[in-house]
Amino acid sequence: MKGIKVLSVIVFLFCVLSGQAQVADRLQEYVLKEWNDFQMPKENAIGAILVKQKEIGKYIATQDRDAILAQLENGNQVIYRVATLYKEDKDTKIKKSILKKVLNNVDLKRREVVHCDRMDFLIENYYGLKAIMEGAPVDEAWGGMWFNTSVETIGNEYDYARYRQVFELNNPELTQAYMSCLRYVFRYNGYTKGLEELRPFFEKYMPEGDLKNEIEGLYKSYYHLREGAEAPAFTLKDFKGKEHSLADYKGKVLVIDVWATWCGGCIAKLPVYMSMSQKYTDRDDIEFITISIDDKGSFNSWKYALPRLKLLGITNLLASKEECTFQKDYNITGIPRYFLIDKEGKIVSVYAPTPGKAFEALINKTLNRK
Amino acid sequence: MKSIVYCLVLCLVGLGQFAKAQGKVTEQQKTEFAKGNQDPKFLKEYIEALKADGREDALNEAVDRYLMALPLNERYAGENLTYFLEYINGLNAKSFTDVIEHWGDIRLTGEQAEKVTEKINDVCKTTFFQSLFREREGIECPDVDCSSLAAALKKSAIPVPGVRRQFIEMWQSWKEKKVDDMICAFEQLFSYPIVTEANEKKEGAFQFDTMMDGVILGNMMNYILERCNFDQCSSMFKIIDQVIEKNGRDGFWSTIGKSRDNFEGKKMMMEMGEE
Repeated sequence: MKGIKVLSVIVFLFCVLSGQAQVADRLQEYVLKEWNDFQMPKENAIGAILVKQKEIGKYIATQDRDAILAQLENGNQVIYRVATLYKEDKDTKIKKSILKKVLNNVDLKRREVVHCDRMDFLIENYYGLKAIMEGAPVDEAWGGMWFNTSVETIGNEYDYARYRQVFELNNPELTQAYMSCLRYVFRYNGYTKGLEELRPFFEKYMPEGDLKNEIEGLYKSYYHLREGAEAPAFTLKDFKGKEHSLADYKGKVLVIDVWATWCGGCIAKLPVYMSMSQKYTDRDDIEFITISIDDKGSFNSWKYALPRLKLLGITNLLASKEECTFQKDYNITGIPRYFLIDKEGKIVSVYAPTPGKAFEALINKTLNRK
Repeated sequence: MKSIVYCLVLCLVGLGQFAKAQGKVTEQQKTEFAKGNQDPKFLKEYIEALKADGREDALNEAVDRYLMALPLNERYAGENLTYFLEYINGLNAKSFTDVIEHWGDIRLTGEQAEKVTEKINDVCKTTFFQSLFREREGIECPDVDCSSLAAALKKSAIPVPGVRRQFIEMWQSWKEKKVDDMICAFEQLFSYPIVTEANEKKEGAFQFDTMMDGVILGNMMNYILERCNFDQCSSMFKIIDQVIEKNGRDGFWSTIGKSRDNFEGKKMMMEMGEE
């Protein structure tokens, strides 16, 4: 008899809890559908967004006062749409008080936040709007972290500020889910100053586990490539067999394009790199070179690609993995890669931006450094 | 009773060893063969013993000697043709050149003739390919000489495909370090229709083995690239450029296209005085 009572209680609790979960799922779906159907008006868009938010919020409250996830989702959708206003028009003006209200709708400390639709977008938009509210330029507020070597931007202070603030939320579920992106920050940007400054936060707030171990490993394996570190020495041969060492360039700023004949993306960027080098022909304190990571067996392909790709005006070296440790020393896991080494042979960046304005600005800053 | 069982066991062991010895190459056979015994009866027994022993490695030489010891009218008839098709695996076998030289005098059915030409095609391809892998490090010129084969093919009406004939010509010119002749054979090679995909079908076209033939051709082209003077380089560039224009740059032709780029690059370097 007693057993039947216990069983009845278990069945009852199961029904209640699973019913609650179903209601929560259904409410989140409702919120998503409502926002998907929402047509943003051209005039007073922010007003319309806030009205819609209120409407949906009221409906949720009538269904379930404790529907945390649905309320978070509602806030998430508002943030997304307000962020879109800025992305579509950089001159969008929204009062700080309204932005604050928009952001207050989402409490990122809640563990349920990881279940929001496109949680990574939520984080980026939340901190993008927060940065604008605090006075950041719209162009920079969202950061510039692209996990791709063929784009010009490689992140800015707002990216690292976002990472730091996510750590400081002290929300283990969110940290675990969002911070896996640090793997790509290492892979595409190397050991940046931003990552160095982030390290104490990472150590304090990152939950124990495989991801923490992996990122700790990256901190260790990329440490020797940090800004200001001595660039790993190399001695490589040009197509005539003449040796060139890193030490030969001491006293000059050294710019390196790491490529290979099989890399279409690298070849597409070579003309831009070469035309960038042309801007510095009147200076004798800077040298542009290329280093190919082609295999030893592709020597001829590399050698005879040089005139075709109009590279013969500069020094071109081959760093086959069979013949040297260059690729290992510089953690070459993808190309193109661009290096900037200062006059003392120290790393400015071995994950420099692709040739263009950002790279030139970095070169000029390095050249003008006292 | 015990002694009867003991005797029986001994007899069985002895019989077993006798039976086993029947399939083995004897020391006497080995000595006779080493001495150069040309007797077809002896050679046939020796071949059977080698087969029983699974000595595939030694069969090429034994079968070759056996076939060459027979009169021409028996050499490629019946079981002997099977021997040729199954066990002759080297370009240096006398019977390999012999079958080409005497093609007009040998009576074969259409199917048999096809098998023989297929065999010649395969052996050439495999021998060249293996030779390159043997000499992979620091290869300059190949060690396999096919001058007799090339000479025999020139005089023979055997239907070995034109592409294979040009391959052999080009290989031999490589062996003799004759870059001009290599270029000539290379140009001729592409005058024949070629298909490069296994499922591609074209009447009378040569089925190019992109793995083996591709490696062989790549090595020969690389030799020309490294040794050619300006005129030779220009010729190669022109030939390959036309081949690419005709076939595009997909699949196997992309490798040929890369070679075109290399010759173009070398030509440019020579014009700039960099090489």
